[in-house]
Amino acid sequence: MIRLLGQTIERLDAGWVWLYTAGMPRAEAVGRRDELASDQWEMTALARTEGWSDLALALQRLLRWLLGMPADMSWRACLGRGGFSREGMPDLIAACLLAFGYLAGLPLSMASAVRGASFAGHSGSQELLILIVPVVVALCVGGFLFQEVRRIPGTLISLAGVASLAVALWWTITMPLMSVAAALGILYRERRLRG
Amino acid sequence: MRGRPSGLLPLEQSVIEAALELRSEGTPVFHGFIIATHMREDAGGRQLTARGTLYKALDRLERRGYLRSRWEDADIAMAEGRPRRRLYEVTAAGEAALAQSKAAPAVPNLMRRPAQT
Repeated sequence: MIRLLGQTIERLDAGWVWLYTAGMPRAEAVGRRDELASDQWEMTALARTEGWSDLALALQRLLRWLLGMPADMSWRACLGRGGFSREGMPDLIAACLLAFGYLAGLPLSMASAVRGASFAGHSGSQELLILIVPVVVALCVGGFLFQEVRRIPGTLISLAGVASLAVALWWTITMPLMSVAAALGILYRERRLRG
Repeated sequence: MRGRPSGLLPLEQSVIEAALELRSEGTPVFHGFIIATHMREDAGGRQLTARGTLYKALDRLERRGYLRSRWEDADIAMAEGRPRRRLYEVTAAGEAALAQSKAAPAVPNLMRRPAQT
């Protein structure tokens, strides 16, 4: 369980790195991602050498990630116009869609669900489903992205999440659909760039 | 990149100091994480420097010419079964900046009120 927590933090962290480097010139973005991937690996190796517990490693990883987030954002902001490139635009658009999915779509779905205006006549269990499903779908999409959008199962999980949401409440499909579309776009782009 | 035109921030000073210590121990080039562990040992603490903070400082130092970097040979990394490292080295300008930063008097805090007598 704790190991799973550690892996989840690692993937969320990798997703964060992808997000804040989206839109940069490709060489710089890849360089930053590679450097931070190396840092992750070194920390895991140190943890083995020094005999850290899985929990200690997960917490250390989480703390280093969260405490460094403001610096990550200011680093990107300080790059100014040099931090953007035409080749990185598809990634940036995808990142904006994903951010919208998480930051706007989730609260909107939840607020609508709590208010209850749009699903009068639904049973309590359906309302609960309406609350939970968008979260699950968003996490599935996020998981898909955090796996560096290379794995087909991630796509299937995301699509399954969207399908279940469509059954529960058709109109909130917009948010996860945008996220899935963004993730698929990234997948396509990554494959094309990797030849 | 925007930023202070001169002078080193405390973290940047610590990075260069740690890098010079490593060099005196026979490691002229270093990667980011080894600096984090070295600084942790120097501070006698358990917490490693926050990742974003550390790599932002490294990037800033490199852009100002105090460090230079290159990517490790991919074959070496592959042979050791790990991701390739970005290796840094302190430049002469970096050493001079550190010396200057240490020699400069501490900037007084102008916002602090004088003690009431």
